[in-house]
Amino acid sequence: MIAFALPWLFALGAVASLGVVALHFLSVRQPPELLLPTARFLDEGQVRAVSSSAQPSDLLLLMLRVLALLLACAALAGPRWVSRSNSTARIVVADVALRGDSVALRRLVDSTAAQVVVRFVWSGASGDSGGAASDAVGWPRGIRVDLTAALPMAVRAAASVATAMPDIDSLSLYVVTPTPVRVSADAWRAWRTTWPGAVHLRTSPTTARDGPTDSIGLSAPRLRFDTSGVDVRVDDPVRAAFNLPAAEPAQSIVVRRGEIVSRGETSTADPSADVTIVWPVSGVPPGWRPVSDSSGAVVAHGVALVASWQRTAIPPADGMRGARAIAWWGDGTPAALEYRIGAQCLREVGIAVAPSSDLLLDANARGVLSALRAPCGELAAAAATAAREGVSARVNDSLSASVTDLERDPMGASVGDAAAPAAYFRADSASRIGSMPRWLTPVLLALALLLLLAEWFLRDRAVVHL
Amino acid sequence: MTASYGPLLDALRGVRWPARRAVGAALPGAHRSRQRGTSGEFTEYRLYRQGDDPKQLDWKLLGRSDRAFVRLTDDRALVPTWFIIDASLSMAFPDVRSALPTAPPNKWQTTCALAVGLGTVAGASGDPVGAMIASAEGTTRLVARTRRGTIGEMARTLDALRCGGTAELAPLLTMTPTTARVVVISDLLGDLDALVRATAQRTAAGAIVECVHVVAMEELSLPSGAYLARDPEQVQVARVLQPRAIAAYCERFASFRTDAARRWRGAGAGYTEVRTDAPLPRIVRQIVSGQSRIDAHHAGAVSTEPAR
Repeated sequence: MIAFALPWLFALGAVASLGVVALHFLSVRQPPELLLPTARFLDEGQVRAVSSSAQPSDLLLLMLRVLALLLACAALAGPRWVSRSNSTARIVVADVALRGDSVALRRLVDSTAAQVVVRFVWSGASGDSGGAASDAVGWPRGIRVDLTAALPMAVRAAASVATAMPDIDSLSLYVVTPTPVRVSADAWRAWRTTWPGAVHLRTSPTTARDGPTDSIGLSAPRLRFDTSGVDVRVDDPVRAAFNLPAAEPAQSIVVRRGEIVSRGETSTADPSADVTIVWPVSGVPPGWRPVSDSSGAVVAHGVALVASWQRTAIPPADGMRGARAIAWWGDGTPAALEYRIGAQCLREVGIAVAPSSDLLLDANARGVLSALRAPCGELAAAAATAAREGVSARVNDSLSASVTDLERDPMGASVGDAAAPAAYFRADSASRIGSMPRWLTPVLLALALLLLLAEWFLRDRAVVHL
Repeated sequence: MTASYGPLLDALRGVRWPARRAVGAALPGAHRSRQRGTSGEFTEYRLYRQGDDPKQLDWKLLGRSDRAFVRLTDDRALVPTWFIIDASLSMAFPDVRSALPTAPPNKWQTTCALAVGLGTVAGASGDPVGAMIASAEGTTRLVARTRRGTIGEMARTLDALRCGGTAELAPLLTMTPTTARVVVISDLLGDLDALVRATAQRTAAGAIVECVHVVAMEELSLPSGAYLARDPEQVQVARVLQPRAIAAYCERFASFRTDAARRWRGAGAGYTEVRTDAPLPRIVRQIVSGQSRIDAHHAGAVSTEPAR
């Protein structure tokens, strides 16, 4: 079956073919010749005459013309040969605890899937999302902490698989976690929209026995968001950035995304959190001076995040007392400050991030995120030396969800067990006009040329003899 | 002789073709001659007038009645009959290869039948019959003879000949004797002007010229639909034939035929228009009888007496 990168161009050719058919009936052309000795008694005039007939003539020529036009348009529309095998690839994102028994993991997935397995794709860790029909090359640690971490990885793996295997029609996603499942419902709903098919959640009862030693327990997460007083969309880039798989923060962190007018009403630092991050949606923390200019980069923790930043606020000079800059703009102006409040600390971030922006998902954003995740008073790597025994037992109320709820599409789409269409992840490749395989366009053009030559040779030049 | 001419010749048995007027001096034949007194066939007496040849006096009658009478006699002479036949490409219309078996003959077939029929009638009077056929291959000349087999030879020659090219008939007409009867069979789409001028000269010299204008029914009734009509003899002449152009065409063609008839008559020749679907024995009888006019729609021909 042939699909087109530019289907409108092929549709245009079809419309033009209809025009050719119409002209075949209504064309103004030179009529057939008639040998007539008394032709001199006819009027002198235009040699071309209207010759219209309800009965189509020269059907062979008409067919050649229409076929040539359709083939030429098909060649220029970027034809792609698509297999009709209705094949489905599976993307399995499994927690690192399941690494020890890949056979059991494969059996777990196969036993619950009714479709014919064509490809079995293992998804690796971030940055290496795995190839087609390859074994797992990495295992995300964050799944056990927050199931949402599986989805970005699955999206990247799907894009890679869909591009590498053009004959794949759909993709099934299996997320395998050790029990119990923990998930941040808001983050899950935010990322769930990026997967246009069913997500199959599987739990492995043998995980605890077979999995490798992992010092991170299944405790409550140490990161939560406070969006009170502000309408933060589910695709909040800050929330997404903090939800990326990363080392477990050593201290509990609360991120306030609401707008705070003055620092006095901030409730200061959240007493239940070690680190309180005030990162208003507008990018103007309380007490900061609003500005409107731009900067080329944000530097933190030794890493520069280069982008066209719109700077909305800078800290006041008197407000810097007792504060310590932990992030800077490209011109040296602080972009984030840290205030020590006893054993806790308050961090204000004056970086405005546009909704749905993926700047904070960039690898270079780890500097800013690490600086904000760092324990109070130091900017060292959080996960390296953090005492894991001190994990807070505070559990966000939203961290409970049934498997059925999680598998359901939060956007309301009834996906059921439907796999995600592979074409959804081929957005980049679809924009290319070239044919697949590459020889398809030249072949179609050559066929069109041959048909035109045949039409030229077969053109009716017959003389009518009476 | 070709068997296809059999019914025509049977229908023309006993038909004679007398000369329309007295012919000049020639060998003794069946036609009234302008010469008088040379033959022994007595016709009448006439009172002697001053200037008459005394030899023509009937001396016996003068002796008995003391009156001077001149003995008058009519001479009879032969009229050589020459056929000048147009075998140009336009005479091959319509193409017999694409015609239905029931279709009427084309112009060339009609011409051949007319030539054979008229030649047979002329030969039956003892007149020598000859032919000059103009085609793309040149001029085919059959010497006028009276012997048996002349018509058969002409028929075979006509049947073997293929129409083609363009033909000029006027030079052939000037090659005929002034005492002959010349029958021009053509569609008059060639050198009509020159032919009419030569005809006027020949008739002034005493020749009897008959023009048989052959018109195909397909030229009178054009097909419907749109065509690019092209003259087979002049390929550069290409005109559009459309249903709305047929009326003007018919008017022009009729005007052409009327003008041709007027010009031929004005040149002292007879003019007969023959359509290809006309019954040929009847046409031959009309031509040889010299009927002035026959209803064209019923007889398929229009005959005219030479202008007096």
